[in-house]
Amino acid sequence: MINNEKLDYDALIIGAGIAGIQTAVDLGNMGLKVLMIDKQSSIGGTMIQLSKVFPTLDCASCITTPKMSAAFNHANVTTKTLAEFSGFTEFSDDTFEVEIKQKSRYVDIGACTGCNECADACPVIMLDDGYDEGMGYKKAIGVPFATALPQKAVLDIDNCILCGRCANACSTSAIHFEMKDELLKYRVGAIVIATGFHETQIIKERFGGGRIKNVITGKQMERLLAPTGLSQGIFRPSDSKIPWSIAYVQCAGSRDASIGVPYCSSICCMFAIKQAILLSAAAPLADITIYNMDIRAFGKGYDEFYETARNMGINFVKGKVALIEETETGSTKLHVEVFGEDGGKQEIEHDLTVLSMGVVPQWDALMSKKLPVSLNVDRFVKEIRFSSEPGLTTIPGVFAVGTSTGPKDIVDSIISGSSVAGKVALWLKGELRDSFLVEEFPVVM
Amino acid sequence: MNEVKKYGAFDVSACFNCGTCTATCPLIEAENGNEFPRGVIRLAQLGQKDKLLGSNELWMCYHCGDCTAACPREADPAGFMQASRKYAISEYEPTGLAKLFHKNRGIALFFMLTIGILFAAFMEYSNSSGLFGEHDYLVLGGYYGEVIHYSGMAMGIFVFLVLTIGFIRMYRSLVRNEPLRKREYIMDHLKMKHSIILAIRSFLDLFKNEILMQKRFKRVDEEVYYEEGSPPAYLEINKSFEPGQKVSRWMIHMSIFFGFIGLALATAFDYLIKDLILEDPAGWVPIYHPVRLLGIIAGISMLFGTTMSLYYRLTKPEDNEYYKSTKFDDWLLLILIWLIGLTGFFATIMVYLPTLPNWSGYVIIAHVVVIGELFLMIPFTKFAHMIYRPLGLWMLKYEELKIDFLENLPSEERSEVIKVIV
Repeated sequence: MINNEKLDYDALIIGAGIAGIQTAVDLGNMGLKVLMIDKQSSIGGTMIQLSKVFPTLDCASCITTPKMSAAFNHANVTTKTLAEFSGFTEFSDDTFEVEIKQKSRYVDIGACTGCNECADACPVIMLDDGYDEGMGYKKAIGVPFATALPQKAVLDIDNCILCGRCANACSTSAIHFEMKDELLKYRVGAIVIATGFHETQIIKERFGGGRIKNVITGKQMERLLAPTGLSQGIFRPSDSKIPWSIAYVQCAGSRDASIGVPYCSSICCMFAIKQAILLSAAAPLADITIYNMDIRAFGKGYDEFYETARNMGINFVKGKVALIEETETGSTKLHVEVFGEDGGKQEIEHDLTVLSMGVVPQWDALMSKKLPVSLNVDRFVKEIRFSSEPGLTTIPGVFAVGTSTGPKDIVDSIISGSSVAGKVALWLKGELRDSFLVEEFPVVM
Repeated sequence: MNEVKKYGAFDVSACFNCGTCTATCPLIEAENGNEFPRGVIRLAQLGQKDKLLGSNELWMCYHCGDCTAACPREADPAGFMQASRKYAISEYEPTGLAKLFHKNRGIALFFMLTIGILFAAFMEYSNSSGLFGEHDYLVLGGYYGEVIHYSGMAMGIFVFLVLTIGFIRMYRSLVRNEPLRKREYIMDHLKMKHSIILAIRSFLDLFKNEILMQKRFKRVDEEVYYEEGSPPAYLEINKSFEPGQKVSRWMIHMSIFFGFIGLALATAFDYLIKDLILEDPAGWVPIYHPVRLLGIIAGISMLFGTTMSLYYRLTKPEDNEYYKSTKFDDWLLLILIWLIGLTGFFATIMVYLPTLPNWSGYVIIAHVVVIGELFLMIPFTKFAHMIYRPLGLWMLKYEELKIDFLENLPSEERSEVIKVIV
């Protein structure tokens, strides 16, 4: 039994995406004190950016925001945003002292009311490449987005011109330009890695290397489709035209050893199908073609979802796109060998091309220096008892949930969050020590 | 198919048949129905040996390496095509020597050295012992003329026989096999008259575009995809030559090819004029004699091509898959050709020196020995592409013309030209 009196918090959760939030809420409901940190200015992770979820086509925000709110307002859960994990010390009684770098928000979180007057006053308008994936704009100061939690303004000091208009506009004098970063230290009983994923960040040279305007990534399309998005409609970036034909390029950032992502990202098939179905409503006249090697619809109701998409008239073409060129009109020309009766090498033009990028862990080499858990060959956090007790890493007391251990969809992330919450509770009771010591079998990954 | 692996191919099970290689290939025009390298790799995955040997797709590929650069599995489709060609050459030729050489470098080297030394010794022996009677004509400081003449004849007959058998074998496996992708009309057999007309037409096209100009090869050089900011090293300006000159692979191949043609012509003319017309085989010709000039120019062209080719291989441009994939037998062949050029060059210089150095005889022996080796190697190495590739491309053109012909034919006339095979 870990001595609770020494501890500031029972568990630290690094990352406040859907998996981290689920773990935090579950642990909090068990009466354990949890500290949840996120490096972003709002909790919610990737899921809060999404439009709908597959295969039910439920609104993503409608699932995320109640959970975000439950965690954020939970009596046992303390949330810190703009906070990064920066180091830890392990003690012999199985507790950790963690260091957290609290980046300054330049806004007094207690005083800020979230009225967003500062954003209205701010003269700096810039591309929002965080939440809106470059598909919207933001000001240098303001509440990050409509459903952000905490609903407090944040100042982007790198882009701020220090004109002071926001400070004048703020009725509670919450803006402090002189705020400094802090290093916080806490004693915790367990650490949960919930850092999630980001899309494969390199667009292959053969897909334009990011230079072709009308080649966008799946997450960018998600922002175009989301009701919280700025565009409120589907347009193509180069000339804001409504696209008449949209291509989905599957395995554009995964199953490709040449960009270092040889594994399958497991969610791209489904989110492409989901987006195609949503596009059938958002851009009813557009032809949608999904170029795929195979459709991996593995979950409950997923295959039916795929069938629905086929019956809706979405084209599924078997063939891996090899090269994307830009035409004079700004459209994209896809070089692909199509399989089937009328197959062969073809060059097909589409107004807009969406790349289904892969899933790459956000837990990078830098983080591994601060918290040296072993990684799999694919750079996801290694689970030592992957099939019997998922979530246990190579350091006793350190757990991993969600997509930090491998590509997962939302359902699986939530399941993983809950299951690890149970494991953390067991660990804090002192009952999981043995499991950490015995590696299940050498996992071939 | 493990067999192809021995010729340098990757493990074909690495390929997941995505078709990226086919889609990037600069030789495959949209919708013309070809699907190599993927289709060819698929044949190997399925173990369809006969189909692999009978696919003229093998001979369409010029190994630009674009598919290898694009492959998401980091397999080596271009290398597979290269290995399959070597495999096909080994399978077509009847003696089994090619197989032995490809699989075992030691044996290949040993064999070549032994033949070289034996041949050189034979030349020297026959010269000093007067095996061929009187030394009736002179070749540069020695009396090897008759030896060269007769052993050349013997080798010629041997090589011709082996190549003919290989040619027939390849032709048989090409016609026996259906193409990878069935297109309309392709299985129809034309009546004799029409097929001969088409064969001649396709051969003329082949001769003009592929043999003389090697247009397909040129297109590969021009259209291959390069990542932004990294032009292919071999297209960069070569400073040791005329400024702005680009020594592409096509250029290199053309200079070697025409070098060979020129040298062959020069040899033939030389024989015609000196032996048959003047009946003075040992006759000395001035350097400005047209046949001599042709020989010199062709020799320089060949030497230039092989030197550049070797140079690029040695400097190994990082972004060029082709030069990276050079195998042992490719080196051997290139070095042999280069040695021929070099020794020939020295021999020519020595003819026009006022006095012959003592070792000039050895230069000519070396020259003749490497020529002999190369000549013997023709059917067994990738040098055999000089007959197999034209045959493959000829068949390809024939098929194209046939489909074209039948498509444009009114349907009522079709029965008149198509032979019904029962």
